Amino acid sequence: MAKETDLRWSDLEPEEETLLKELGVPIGGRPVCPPLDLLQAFHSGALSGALRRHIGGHVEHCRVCQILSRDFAAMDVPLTKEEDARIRARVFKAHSGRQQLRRWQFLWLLIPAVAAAVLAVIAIWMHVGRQNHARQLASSAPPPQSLAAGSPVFTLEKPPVALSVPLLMRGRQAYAAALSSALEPYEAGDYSSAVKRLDPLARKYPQRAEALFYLGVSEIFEANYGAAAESLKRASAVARGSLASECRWYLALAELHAGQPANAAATLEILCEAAGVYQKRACAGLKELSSKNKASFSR
Amino acid sequence: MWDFDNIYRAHVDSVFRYALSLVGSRSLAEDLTSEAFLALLRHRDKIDEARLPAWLFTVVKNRVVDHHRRRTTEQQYADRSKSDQDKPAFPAFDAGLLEHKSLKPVHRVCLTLRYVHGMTRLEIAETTGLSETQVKGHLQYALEILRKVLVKDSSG
Ligand SMILES: [Zn+2]
Repeated sequence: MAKETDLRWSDLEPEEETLLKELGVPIGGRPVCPPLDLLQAFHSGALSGALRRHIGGHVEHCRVCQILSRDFAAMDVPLTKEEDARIRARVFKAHSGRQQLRRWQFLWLLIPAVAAAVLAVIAIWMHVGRQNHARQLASSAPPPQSLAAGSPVFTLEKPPVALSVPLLMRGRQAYAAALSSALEPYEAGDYSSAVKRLDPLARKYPQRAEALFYLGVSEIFEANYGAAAESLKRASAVARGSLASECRWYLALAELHAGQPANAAATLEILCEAAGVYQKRACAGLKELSSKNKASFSR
Repeated sequence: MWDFDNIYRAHVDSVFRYALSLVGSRSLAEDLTSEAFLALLRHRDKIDEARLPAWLFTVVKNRVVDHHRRRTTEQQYADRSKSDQDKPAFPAFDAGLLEHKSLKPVHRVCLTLRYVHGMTRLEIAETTGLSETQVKGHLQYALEILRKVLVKDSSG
């Protein structure tokens, strides 16, 4: 498969090639100007530190970059109907989901009443046949699961769809567009559809962490923990920066749920050793796991 | 009372334009705009409508700043071209050519994105919000102009 950088000018036409030669522009050369996203970020003051100095140093002397930023602003192509429809779909899907949640929230008020009724039934039941009741409870108990997975340290939170600027860099737009569309069911909380949409994408782009990450998380929500651990392991291997920690955290959760505490501990150790948003939780999780281990040994 | 639909319609265009000015990519601006409105939904109880759209702009900007802050110069910029460092660098595209009086901003943007940044027509379309056919048309027109300038220069 061609590397991303080799895709440059894959659609070059003969007359263009002729003109480029006349202009002395080598075909397939390396751009010396910073990409547009960095230029715009620089002009809007969104850059800091070395990056700001680096881009600023170039822009100060490069007339081509100055003209590009000026002209890009002057083009002013308004929000298209299609773009508006896509934004609307994302925002309003979440909005209606929230409202439905609000509508159902009143059910919580019924809990005390339901609890009282259940207690009454149980009391009568126990009175009628204690032995029988105990046998029934045992048969309906959930399958044994790692205790640690139920601990508050390991609460499963849905990671929001976080964008990453490099995703939209040159050559990645096709992946970004496919990903953004495949994430619609994920955002709407339909994890079974999310798995179906993300799985082919993760196969097509095995070097891209995002599709694998959201696939793994969706699989956790679908209680398919073994598959989740596999997806998240692959995601961790290719992810960089904060996404890598995120992949590892959810990998640890998947491993715990899948009944692989030793693997989970190894994953948590990596997180606990490196600075990052999951460091504290990972260290706390490790402690909890080891105390569980000691408890089971001394038992 | 909150009328979210009204609020969305009143501000979506300006939030999108603002996001676009920050990131120079329409698909990314689309994501940022969605995220800003989703954040507004999450915090609706705490936000006074009078603070809009400034609050939405702040959400957008913070995300962009945050993203760039997390990455170093090396990751952001140098890494992008590391894989083709063995290839020759473009000579700076002649800015004088770009400033020809027959070229409009849209032509210059298409020319620069294609011949300085090396984008395909599809990528230019995605970046600018033009259709691929429009991009092709603008590039053809701009190339005609450049060709004329070149012929004139070599003959004069
Ligand atoms: Zn430049």
